[in-house]
Amino acid sequence: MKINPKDLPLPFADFLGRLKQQGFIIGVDHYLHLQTVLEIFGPEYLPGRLKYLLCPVFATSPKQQEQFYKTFDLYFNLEKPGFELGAEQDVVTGKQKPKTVDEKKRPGIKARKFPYVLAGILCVIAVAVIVYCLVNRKLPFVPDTKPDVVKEVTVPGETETIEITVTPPSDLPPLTFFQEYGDAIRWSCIILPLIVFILWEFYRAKQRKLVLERQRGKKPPFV
Amino acid sequence: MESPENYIAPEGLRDAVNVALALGQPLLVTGEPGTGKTQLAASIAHELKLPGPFAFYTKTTSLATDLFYQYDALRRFQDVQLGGREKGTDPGEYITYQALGISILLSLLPDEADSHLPEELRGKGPARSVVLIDEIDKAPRDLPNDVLNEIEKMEFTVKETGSAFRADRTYRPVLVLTSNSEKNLPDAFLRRCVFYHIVFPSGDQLKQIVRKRFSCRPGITPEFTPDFIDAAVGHFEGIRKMDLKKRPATAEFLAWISILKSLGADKGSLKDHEKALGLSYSVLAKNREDLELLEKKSRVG
Repeated sequence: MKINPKDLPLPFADFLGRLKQQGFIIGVDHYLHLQTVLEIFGPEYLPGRLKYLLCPVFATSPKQQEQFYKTFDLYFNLEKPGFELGAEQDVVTGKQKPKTVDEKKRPGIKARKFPYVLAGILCVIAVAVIVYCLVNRKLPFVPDTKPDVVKEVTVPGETETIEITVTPPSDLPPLTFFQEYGDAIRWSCIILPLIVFILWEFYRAKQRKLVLERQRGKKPPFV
Repeated sequence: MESPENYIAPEGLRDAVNVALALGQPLLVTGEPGTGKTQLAASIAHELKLPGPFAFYTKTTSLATDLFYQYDALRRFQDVQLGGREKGTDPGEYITYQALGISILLSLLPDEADSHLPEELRGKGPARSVVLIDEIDKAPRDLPNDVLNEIEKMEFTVKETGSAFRADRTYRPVLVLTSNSEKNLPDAFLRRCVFYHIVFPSGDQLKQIVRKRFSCRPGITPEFTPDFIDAAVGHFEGIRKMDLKKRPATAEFLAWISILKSLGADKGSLKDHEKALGLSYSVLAKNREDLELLEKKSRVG
């Protein structure tokens, strides 16, 4: 299916949206300039250096320049250690910006970092629990090999002793799969979705890193 | 102005220059005094082998037209009064083209522009050139607002003669504006510029600047030893962290180490030259309070 250039997303659209939230004024001419700069210089520049190329297009003051560098590093996972999320300042007033409802819901950078550790821990726990459940699972009934038990029953009034043979039950139905492996299945249903969620976070974080490589080879959305 | 080949531009500044050239927009540079804003234009002209920079030093009384030309109305009046009908008829004789005007004229063919250009530039067009508009924040707020269209299209009109000139796209002037951020520039003006703020150089960058700046001046200062440069930079960084009213910048630093050298303080440790240090601080301090603070520092150590 041929893709209409008009349907292609604008490059760095999400990142520019983030800049707008921080008080940057971004107009149509900024998008055009961004496109021009990416076309001319984009293929030669590593992601980390791209910020020096793009910042002059958007920043109009020393504060905005600093804010742009920080935002770029955070957004494309190039942040330096020690930077605290939530310290974003409005570039016009200089005051700390309160988080919007969306930002509160959206997981922060710290949340995206610990999935790596959490996934490892959960995998270990999942494996341990499943192994435990398998080892301690209910075993199917194994009939006793002893011979029939003979019981002596004394009937009142009678002096004879009657022998009753009690045959141990040997035809009980075997345990079903769920009866045998139920515990292991239950734990898997709890832990596996968590692992899938964490892997999804990995994928999203990687997608952000790849977006720069994707943008480099991109053709403009307009002819 | 120092030799432009000794200018060391930070990576971000180089990229900003490239972006300005690619987009054909002026480059607005801010930073502390003495961080090399003005010298950038010379460095660009040197690296790109372009004429210029044609410099315009903004004053508090500057008008928008002053960037392009000046009209000497008084001399024309005088000529008319004293010279009779023969003199003062052609207003073009009283027009002197300024930095941006010259640069736009230089981008045109010689047939169109040579009659307006200074003699030393005639026959050199069409050529791209570098223009420096220094400390534009000094100008009245009207000035940036009044030149929005002219800067965007690189054109101007001489009201007195009715002549209009527009730069050839291929030879569009490279415009560098500097600002000390004393006043905020209008948003509409900033939108038309590529912006870069020169951060004060780090310790390593200062050492590099010293080595490059003084390596080709053996007559004034023989090469500084690495130990002396390290000690001087460390001492200077300590001074910048002090609570001074006006912190010294790169230009003061370079003058200061030249003074230290001439006072013989480059031999041994700086701490052994308390007297020389005290004498040298007059280069770094811009007011009495700062000088007293620095002298106190040199006594304490």
